[in-house]
Amino acid sequence: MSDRTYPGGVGRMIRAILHEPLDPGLELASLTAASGKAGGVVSFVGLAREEDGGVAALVLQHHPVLTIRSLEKIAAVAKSRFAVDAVTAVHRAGTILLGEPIVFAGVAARHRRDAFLAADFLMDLLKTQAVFWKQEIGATGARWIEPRLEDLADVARWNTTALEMAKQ
Amino acid sequence: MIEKREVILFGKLADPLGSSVRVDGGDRSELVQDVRARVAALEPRLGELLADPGVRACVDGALAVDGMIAGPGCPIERIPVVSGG
Repeated sequence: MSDRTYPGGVGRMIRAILHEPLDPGLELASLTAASGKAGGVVSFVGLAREEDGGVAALVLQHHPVLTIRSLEKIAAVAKSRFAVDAVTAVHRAGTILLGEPIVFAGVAARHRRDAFLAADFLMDLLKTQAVFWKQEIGATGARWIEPRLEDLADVARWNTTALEMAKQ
Repeated sequence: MIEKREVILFGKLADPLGSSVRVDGGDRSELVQDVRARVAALEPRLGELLADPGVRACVDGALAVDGMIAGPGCPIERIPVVSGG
């Protein structure tokens, strides 16, 4: 099951929550096909990784309304801040095994610098503001993952204000 | 008549009593903060978790401050600080 929006055409944004395996190649091909006059595409694929030993999987809980809304806002802020033609933010929910793709963030822009910056910005916001609650599942049970200081420091570089988020 | 109000708990808030609890007061309009106090009284650990100022309320798909009113039968969601993506 997926929860997608496809405005379509150049200048599009895709924001999606997937409850099934994420196919980065498919997302990249889709973004590239919709990139219009863009001169380049930059993408990032996040994989479920182990923080401590003995973890078998991650479980991502999401909210039926607030999560997709958070992805919409994040994608819209990235699109408004940088000169990009298309933005894709696709995130898994549910149980994700280690090594599986958990997030795809991609942008298409006329110039590479805008594309690199926008993709970096997009991921920093996704890491800190996307509405998910993550659990590590291991042999000894489950552990909730709290926000990481490194991620908060990363997003602080952009000086993104609450007002900027609220406008979208 | 609806006598109980459902409070849906996300993330670690669901650890003590599960993802849904029902409390009295569902047959009338109430302040969000009054419902929180009633839920917090159900279980000590849940009370501690709900005392975190980062925990927010959500009513009808929108964030709600403590001073807002939840109508009769209207579920209230409680969401902790997000882990992020």
